[in-house]
Amino acid sequence: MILDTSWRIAVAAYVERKFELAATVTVQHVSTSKMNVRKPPSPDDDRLLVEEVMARASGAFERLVRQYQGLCWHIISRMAPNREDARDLCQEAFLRVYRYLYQYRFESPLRFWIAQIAYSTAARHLERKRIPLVELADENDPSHPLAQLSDGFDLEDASADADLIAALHAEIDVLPPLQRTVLTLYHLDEVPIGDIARITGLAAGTIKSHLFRSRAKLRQRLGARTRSVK
Amino acid sequence: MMHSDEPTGEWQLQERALEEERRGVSPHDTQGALAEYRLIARVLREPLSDALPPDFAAHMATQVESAVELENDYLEKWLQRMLSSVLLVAGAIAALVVGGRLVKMLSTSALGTTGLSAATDWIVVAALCCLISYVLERVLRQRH
Repeated sequence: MILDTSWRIAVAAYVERKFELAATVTVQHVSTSKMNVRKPPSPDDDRLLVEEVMARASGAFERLVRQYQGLCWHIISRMAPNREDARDLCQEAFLRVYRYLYQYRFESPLRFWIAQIAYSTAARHLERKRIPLVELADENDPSHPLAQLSDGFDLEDASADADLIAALHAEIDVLPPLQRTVLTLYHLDEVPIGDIARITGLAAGTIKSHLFRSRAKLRQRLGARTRSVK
Repeated sequence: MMHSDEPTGEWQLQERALEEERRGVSPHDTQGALAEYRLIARVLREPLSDALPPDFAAHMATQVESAVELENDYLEKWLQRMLSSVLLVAGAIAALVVGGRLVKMLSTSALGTTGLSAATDWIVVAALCCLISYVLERVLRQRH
């Protein structure tokens, strides 16, 4: 009980400390946030850009790539952990974007259409390499995140910021490709659940379930990891 | 739609943590599961450690341009081959259909001469045409 209280206080203190730190470097924080989540282009911007690319206007395709390479990288690098593979897949995805741009009908924002291509390119790569997109969850497994939600992680030995962050990043990295991608799209790129469903071709309920399970798993895994360090 | 294995409270906690992180709400007095989920949300919102090289977009544009050029070259060569084949087939058909008559016309001398000398005249004319074309091409190339 004492330990339980101590780690909860440690997490609260950590979160608060990070908040204060963020407040002191407001300018940097704001610019980073803007870098992460840029204002999406309007449908008119999309149409103009697509028309320019189709007309082979000078620099148009380069602008398109620059605008959407971040999102493409987020999806592909989360799906394919090997950096070299991820870069090659990004190239492949943008070549497909160029080749099939004439099929884009402006029914959804261009960024989601490109995200769809990036996702399918990476999914095909995983299929070729026989890497499963999702792991099969066993509801009766005692290590299932839902079975251990009440367990908190012990921060006594992991209260240092760097350790905590590194441990969380490591846990994110070992999640199945689909869950990593869904988490990144939802948290980092702020893509709504319905649009993630369209990008991945899965039902919105399935995306929601993946989000819930992976966040619960992160919370549980972090606890298990810090306990094993002790 | 909520799945049966998603306790509503837990989901709402996760979402609240994300929303508070997005809005930059002070974590003062935040404890327990909410504090943990806020930490997770914060880490998930951090930019990825790796990124594409800065010249990726320019490199892609160049790659696409060369791919387009290659496709154009391919199309041009294909059209040339098609045209040559059509000409060859047309020539063969023409030779079969009107070849006999043409040889007769040449041998009965359009220039007023007979047989072999008429054929020689036509060969000389053709050779002159080739020579003029060759010289003109060389001259034009040198000017460039």
